[in-house]
Amino acid sequence: MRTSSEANAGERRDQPFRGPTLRRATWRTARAAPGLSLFVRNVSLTGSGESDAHTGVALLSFLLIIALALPAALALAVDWHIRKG
Amino acid sequence: MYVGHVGIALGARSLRRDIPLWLLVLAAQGCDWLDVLFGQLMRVEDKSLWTHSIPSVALAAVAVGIVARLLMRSSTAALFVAAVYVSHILADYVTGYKPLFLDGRVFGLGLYGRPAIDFAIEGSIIAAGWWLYRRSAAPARRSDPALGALLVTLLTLQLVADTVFAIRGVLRTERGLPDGIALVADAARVDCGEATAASKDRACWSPGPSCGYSTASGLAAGTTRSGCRGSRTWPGSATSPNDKGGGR
Repeated sequence: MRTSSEANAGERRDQPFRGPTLRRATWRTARAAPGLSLFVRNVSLTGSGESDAHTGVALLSFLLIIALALPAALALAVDWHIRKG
Repeated sequence: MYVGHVGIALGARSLRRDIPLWLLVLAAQGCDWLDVLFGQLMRVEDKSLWTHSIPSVALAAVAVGIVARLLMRSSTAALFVAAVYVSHILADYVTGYKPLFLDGRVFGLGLYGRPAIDFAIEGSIIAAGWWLYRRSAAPARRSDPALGALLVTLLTLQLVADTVFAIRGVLRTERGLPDGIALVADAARVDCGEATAASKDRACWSPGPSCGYSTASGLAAGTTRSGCRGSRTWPGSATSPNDKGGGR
Protein backbone atom coordinates (compact mmCIF):
# COMPACT_ATOMS: atom_id res chain seq x y z
CA MET A 1 0.00 0.00 0.00
CA ARG A 2 1.34 3.38 -0.94
CA THR A 3 1.75 6.06 1.66
CA SER A 4 0.04 9.37 1.11
CA SER A 5 3.35 11.09 0.36
CA GLU A 6 4.16 8.45 -2.22
CA ALA A 7 0.72 8.82 -3.69
CA ASN A 8 1.14 12.56 -3.88
CA ALA A 9 4.52 12.19 -5.52
CA GLY A 10 3.10 9.78 -8.06
CA GLU A 11 0.19 12.08 -8.60
CA ARG A 12 2.48 14.97 -9.39
CA ARG A 13 4.40 12.83 -11.86
CA ASP A 14 1.20 11.68 -13.53
CA GLN A 15 -0.35 15.08 -13.65
CA PRO A 16 -0.76 15.90 -17.31
CA PHE A 17 -1.61 19.56 -16.89
CA ARG A 18 1.00 21.84 -15.43
CA GLY A 19 -0.37 25.00 -16.90
CA PRO A 20 -3.17 27.24 -15.75
CA THR A 21 -4.68 26.85 -12.33
CA LEU A 22 -8.07 26.09 -13.82
CA ARG A 23 -6.77 23.05 -15.62
CA ARG A 24 -4.97 21.84 -12.53
CA ALA A 25 -8.10 22.28 -10.49
CA THR A 26 -10.27 20.47 -12.97
CA TRP A 27 -7.79 17.64 -13.22
CA ARG A 28 -7.71 17.32 -9.45
CA THR A 29 -11.47 17.18 -9.38
CA ALA A 30 -11.37 14.45 -11.97
CA ARG A 31 -8.97 12.52 -9.78
CA ALA A 32 -11.21 13.02 -6.77
CA ALA A 33 -14.40 12.00 -8.48
CA PRO A 34 -13.78 10.00 -11.62
CA GLY A 35 -17.35 8.79 -11.67
CA LEU A 36 -18.66 12.26 -12.25
CA SER A 37 -17.23 12.27 -15.72
CA LEU A 38 -19.45 9.34 -16.57
CA PHE A 39 -22.37 11.61 -16.16
CA VAL A 40 -21.60 14.22 -18.75
CA ARG A 41 -19.20 13.92 -21.61
CA ASN A 42 -17.90 16.19 -24.27
CA VAL A 43 -18.19 19.31 -22.20
CA SER A 44 -15.94 21.84 -23.86
CA LEU A 45 -15.15 24.94 -21.92
CA THR A 46 -11.47 25.31 -22.53
CA GLY A 47 -11.53 24.31 -26.15
CA SER A 48 -8.39 22.30 -25.63
CA GLY A 49 -10.06 18.99 -26.27
CA GLU A 50 -7.65 17.12 -24.06
CA SER A 51 -9.05 18.35 -20.77
CA ASP A 52 -12.66 18.69 -21.77
CA ALA A 53 -13.78 15.66 -19.82
CA HIS A 54 -12.17 17.05 -16.70
CA THR A 55 -13.65 20.44 -17.28
CA GLY A 56 -16.97 18.67 -17.32
CA VAL A 57 -16.13 17.05 -14.02
CA ALA A 58 -15.31 20.40 -12.47
CA LEU A 59 -18.50 21.82 -13.86
CA LEU A 60 -20.47 18.99 -12.31
CA SER A 61 -18.78 19.50 -8.96
CA PHE A 62 -19.91 23.08 -9.12
CA LEU A 63 -23.42 22.00 -10.09
CA LEU A 64 -23.42 19.58 -7.17
CA ILE A 65 -22.85 22.44 -4.77
CA ILE A 66 -25.50 24.54 -6.47
CA ALA A 67 -27.95 21.65 -6.37
CA LEU A 68 -27.37 21.28 -2.66
CA ALA A 69 -27.66 24.99 -1.93
CA LEU A 70 -30.67 25.66 -4.12
CA PRO A 71 -33.47 24.05 -2.07
CA ALA A 72 -31.90 25.30 1.14
CA ALA A 73 -31.68 28.87 -0.12
CA LEU A 74 -35.23 28.71 -1.39
CA ALA A 75 -36.60 27.51 1.94
CA LEU A 76 -34.65 30.18 3.81
CA ALA A 77 -35.83 32.91 1.46
CA VAL A 78 -39.46 31.93 1.90
CA ASP A 79 -39.01 31.67 5.66
CA TRP A 80 -37.51 35.14 5.71
CA HIS A 81 -40.40 36.40 3.59
CA ILE A 82 -42.99 34.82 5.86
CA ARG A 83 -41.40 36.10 9.05
CA LYS A 84 -40.92 39.55 7.60
CA GLY A 85 -44.61 39.73 6.83
CA MET B 1 -32.01 11.82 -0.03
CA TYR B 2 -31.93 15.17 -1.76
CA VAL B 3 -34.69 17.74 -1.19
CA GLY B 4 -36.23 15.53 1.46
CA HIS B 5 -33.62 16.82 3.90
CA VAL B 6 -35.02 20.32 3.50
CA GLY B 7 -38.49 18.89 4.06
CA ILE B 8 -37.27 17.40 7.32
CA ALA B 9 -35.82 20.77 8.32
CA LEU B 10 -39.13 22.50 7.53
CA GLY B 11 -41.01 19.97 9.61
CA ALA B 12 -38.54 20.33 12.45
CA ARG B 13 -38.94 24.07 12.33
CA SER B 14 -42.64 23.69 13.02
CA LEU B 15 -41.83 21.74 16.16
CA ARG B 16 -39.30 24.26 17.49
CA ARG B 17 -40.08 27.77 16.35
CA ASP B 18 -37.32 29.17 18.51
CA ILE B 19 -34.63 27.51 16.42
CA PRO B 20 -33.78 29.40 13.24
CA LEU B 21 -34.51 27.57 10.04
CA TRP B 22 -31.00 28.14 8.70
CA LEU B 23 -29.60 26.12 11.56
CA LEU B 24 -32.03 23.29 10.97
CA VAL B 25 -31.41 23.26 7.23
CA LEU B 26 -27.68 23.26 7.82
CA ALA B 27 -28.05 20.40 10.27
CA ALA B 28 -30.34 18.43 7.98
CA GLN B 29 -27.97 18.80 5.03
CA GLY B 30 -24.83 18.76 7.16
CA CYS B 31 -23.51 15.38 6.05
CA ASP B 32 -23.80 16.38 2.39
CA TRP B 33 -21.99 19.67 2.95
CA LEU B 34 -19.21 17.80 4.70
CA ASP B 35 -19.22 15.42 1.77
CA VAL B 36 -18.71 18.31 -0.62
CA LEU B 37 -16.04 19.80 1.59
CA PHE B 38 -14.10 16.56 1.99
CA GLY B 39 -14.67 15.13 -1.46
CA GLN B 40 -14.62 18.04 -3.84
CA LEU B 41 -12.42 20.52 -2.04
CA MET B 42 -10.11 18.43 0.14
CA ARG B 43 -10.08 15.33 -2.05
CA VAL B 44 -10.37 12.95 0.86
CA GLU B 45 -10.54 9.35 -0.27
CA ASP B 46 -13.57 7.40 0.90
CA LYS B 47 -15.12 10.61 2.11
CA SER B 48 -18.44 8.90 2.77
CA LEU B 49 -16.80 7.02 5.61
CA TRP B 50 -15.99 10.33 7.26
CA THR B 51 -19.31 12.00 6.57
CA HIS B 52 -22.05 9.38 6.40
CA SER B 53 -20.98 6.49 8.63
CA ILE B 54 -22.53 6.08 12.04
CA PRO B 55 -19.38 6.96 14.03
CA SER B 56 -18.71 10.09 11.99
CA VAL B 57 -22.33 11.18 12.13
CA ALA B 58 -22.40 10.66 15.89
CA LEU B 59 -19.25 12.72 16.29
CA ALA B 60 -20.48 15.49 14.03
CA ALA B 61 -23.87 15.50 15.73
CA VAL B 62 -22.17 16.16 19.05
CA ALA B 63 -20.23 19.01 17.48
CA VAL B 64 -23.37 20.43 15.91
CA GLY B 65 -25.17 20.10 19.23
CA ILE B 66 -22.40 22.02 20.99
CA VAL B 67 -22.59 24.79 18.41
CA ALA B 68 -26.37 24.89 18.75
CA ARG B 69 -26.03 25.01 22.54
CA LEU B 70 -23.71 27.99 22.27
CA LEU B 71 -25.99 29.75 19.82
CA MET B 72 -29.33 28.97 21.41
CA ARG B 73 -28.26 28.69 25.04
CA SER B 74 -30.68 25.80 25.36
CA SER B 75 -29.79 22.16 25.92
CA THR B 76 -33.06 20.89 24.49
CA ALA B 77 -32.55 22.99 21.37
CA ALA B 78 -29.04 21.56 21.06
CA LEU B 79 -30.37 18.02 21.34
CA PHE B 80 -33.04 18.82 18.79
CA VAL B 81 -30.55 20.17 16.26
CA ALA B 82 -28.29 17.17 16.82
CA ALA B 83 -31.25 14.88 16.21
CA VAL B 84 -31.98 16.69 12.95
CA TYR B 85 -28.36 16.13 11.97
CA VAL B 86 -28.67 12.42 12.70
CA SER B 87 -31.88 12.27 10.66
CA HIS B 88 -29.75 12.81 7.57
CA ILE B 89 -28.11 9.42 7.65
CA LEU B 90 -31.35 7.65 8.54
CA ALA B 91 -33.00 9.21 5.49
CA ASP B 92 -30.02 8.39 3.32
CA TYR B 93 -30.21 4.73 4.26
CA VAL B 94 -33.62 4.69 2.64
CA THR B 95 -32.71 6.35 -0.63
CA GLY B 96 -29.07 5.39 -1.12
CA TYR B 97 -26.24 3.22 0.03
CA LYS B 98 -24.20 4.57 2.90
CA PRO B 99 -21.50 3.06 5.09
CA LEU B 100 -22.56 1.84 8.49
CA PHE B 101 -19.12 1.83 10.02
CA LEU B 102 -15.59 2.62 8.97
CA ASP B 103 -14.99 -0.75 7.33
CA GLY B 104 -16.42 0.55 4.08
CA ARG B 105 -19.37 -1.79 3.81
CA VAL B 106 -22.44 0.07 2.70
CA PHE B 107 -26.06 -0.39 3.64
CA GLY B 108 -29.34 0.94 2.36
CA LEU B 109 -32.38 0.42 0.20
CA GLY B 110 -30.87 2.33 -2.71
CA LEU B 111 -34.12 3.84 -3.93
CA TYR B 112 -32.23 6.17 -6.23
CA GLY B 113 -32.17 3.11 -8.44
CA ARG B 114 -35.97 3.25 -8.47
CA PRO B 115 -36.62 6.94 -9.07
CA ALA B 116 -40.43 6.68 -9.10
CA ILE B 117 -40.50 5.16 -5.63
CA ASP B 118 -37.85 7.60 -4.48
CA PHE B 119 -39.90 10.53 -5.69
CA ALA B 120 -43.00 9.18 -3.98
CA ILE B 121 -41.15 8.90 -0.67
CA GLU B 122 -39.14 12.09 -0.86
CA GLY B 123 -42.14 13.97 -2.23
CA SER B 124 -44.20 12.79 0.72
CA ILE B 125 -41.52 13.91 3.16
CA ILE B 126 -41.27 17.29 1.45
CA ALA B 127 -45.05 17.73 1.44
CA ALA B 128 -45.36 16.66 5.07
CA GLY B 129 -42.57 18.98 6.17
CA TRP B 130 -44.05 21.84 4.17
CA TRP B 131 -47.51 21.18 5.63
CA LEU B 132 -46.16 21.23 9.18
CA TYR B 133 -44.22 24.38 8.43
CA ARG B 134 -47.24 26.09 6.89
CA ARG B 135 -49.41 25.07 9.81
CA SER B 136 -46.98 26.66 12.23
CA ALA B 137 -46.96 29.97 10.35
CA ALA B 138 -49.14 32.87 11.42
CA PRO B 139 -52.71 32.37 10.16
CA ALA B 140 -52.52 35.50 8.05
CA ARG B 141 -49.46 34.17 6.24
CA ARG B 142 -50.62 30.65 5.51
CA SER B 143 -52.21 31.67 2.22
CA ASP B 144 -49.10 33.50 1.08
CA PRO B 145 -48.30 32.48 -2.50
CA ALA B 146 -44.65 32.15 -1.55
CA LEU B 147 -45.52 29.12 0.56
CA GLY B 148 -47.25 27.44 -2.34
CA ALA B 149 -44.36 28.31 -4.62
CA LEU B 150 -41.97 26.78 -2.11
CA LEU B 151 -43.75 23.44 -2.20
CA VAL B 152 -44.00 23.38 -5.99
CA THR B 153 -40.36 24.32 -6.45
CA LEU B 154 -39.07 21.81 -3.93
CA LEU B 155 -41.09 19.04 -5.54
CA THR B 156 -39.92 20.15 -8.97
CA LEU B 157 -36.30 20.03 -7.89
CA GLN B 158 -36.81 16.54 -6.55
CA LEU B 159 -38.58 15.52 -9.75
CA VAL B 160 -35.69 16.83 -11.83
CA ALA B 161 -33.22 14.92 -9.69
CA ASP B 162 -35.18 11.69 -9.94
CA THR B 163 -35.55 12.16 -13.69
CA VAL B 164 -31.80 12.50 -13.95
CA PHE B 165 -31.40 9.36 -11.87
CA ALA B 166 -33.83 7.52 -14.13
CA ILE B 167 -31.96 8.57 -17.28
CA ARG B 168 -28.70 7.64 -15.66
CA GLY B 169 -30.12 4.26 -14.73
CA VAL B 170 -31.11 3.61 -18.33
CA LEU B 171 -27.66 4.61 -19.54
CA ARG B 172 -26.07 2.34 -16.98
CA THR B 173 -28.24 -0.56 -18.01
CA GLU B 174 -27.28 -0.02 -21.63
CA ARG B 175 -23.63 -0.07 -20.64
CA GLY B 176 -24.06 -3.17 -18.52
CA LEU B 177 -23.33 -1.36 -15.29
CA PRO B 178 -25.16 -2.29 -12.11
CA ASP B 179 -28.28 -0.30 -11.45
CA GLY B 180 -29.36 0.97 -8.09
CA ILE B 181 -26.44 3.29 -7.73
CA ALA B 182 -27.54 6.51 -9.25
CA LEU B 183 -26.39 9.18 -6.89
CA VAL B 184 -23.80 11.15 -8.77
CA ALA B 185 -21.76 11.95 -5.72
CA ASP B 186 -21.62 8.29 -4.76
CA ALA B 187 -20.71 6.96 -8.14
CA ALA B 188 -17.27 5.52 -8.52
CA ARG B 189 -15.93 6.67 -5.22
CA VAL B 190 -13.15 4.23 -5.64
CA ASP B 191 -9.95 5.78 -6.80
CA CYS B 192 -8.89 3.88 -9.85
CA GLY B 193 -5.38 4.20 -11.06
CA GLU B 194 -6.63 4.01 -14.60
CA ALA B 195 -9.14 6.75 -14.10
CA THR B 196 -6.62 9.46 -14.55
CA ALA B 197 -6.39 12.09 -17.18
CA ALA B 198 -4.73 9.57 -19.43
CA SER B 199 -7.98 7.69 -19.75
CA LYS B 200 -9.99 10.84 -19.18
CA ASP B 201 -13.00 9.51 -17.40
CA ARG B 202 -12.72 5.78 -17.11
CA ALA B 203 -13.86 4.80 -13.67
CA CYS B 204 -13.19 1.61 -11.81
CA TRP B 205 -16.36 -0.36 -11.43
CA SER B 206 -14.92 -3.65 -10.33
CA PRO B 207 -16.00 -5.06 -7.04
CA GLY B 208 -13.39 -7.09 -5.32
CA PRO B 209 -11.19 -7.40 -2.31
CA SER B 210 -9.27 -4.23 -2.96
CA CYS B 211 -11.65 -2.12 -4.98
CA GLY B 212 -15.33 -1.38 -5.06
CA TYR B 213 -18.25 -1.35 -2.69
CA SER B 214 -19.23 -4.12 -0.35
CA THR B 215 -22.67 -5.52 -0.88
CA ALA B 216 -25.21 -5.08 1.85
CA SER B 217 -24.55 -8.61 2.96
CA GLY B 218 -20.87 -7.98 2.97
CA LEU B 219 -20.18 -10.27 0.06
CA ALA B 220 -17.54 -9.26 -2.36
CA ALA B 221 -17.70 -10.66 -5.83
CA GLY B 222 -16.09 -10.21 -9.16
CA THR B 223 -12.64 -9.37 -10.20
CA THR B 224 -10.45 -6.46 -9.44
CA ARG B 225 -9.16 -4.21 -12.11
CA SER B 226 -5.51 -3.47 -11.77
CA GLY B 227 -4.69 -0.10 -10.36
CA CYS B 228 -7.79 0.17 -8.24
CA ARG B 229 -7.56 1.44 -4.74
CA GLY B 230 -10.43 1.46 -2.31
CA SER B 231 -12.34 -0.87 -0.09
CA ARG B 232 -15.82 -1.26 -1.46
CA THR B 233 -17.87 -3.41 -3.72
CA TRP B 234 -21.02 -2.42 -5.53
CA PRO B 235 -24.18 -2.99 -3.54
CA GLY B 236 -26.30 -5.73 -4.96
CA SER B 237 -23.89 -6.44 -7.74
CA ALA B 238 -23.14 -10.11 -8.01
CA THR B 239 -20.99 -9.80 -11.06
CA SER B 240 -18.36 -7.44 -12.17
CA PRO B 241 -19.61 -4.96 -14.71
CA ASN B 242 -16.25 -5.19 -16.35
CA ASP B 243 -17.07 -8.75 -17.20
CA LYS B 244 -19.88 -7.39 -19.30
CA GLY B 245 -17.63 -5.03 -21.11
CA GLY B 246 -18.38 -2.24 -18.65
CA GLY B 247 -16.03 0.02 -16.88
CA ARG B 248 -17.20 3.13 -18.64
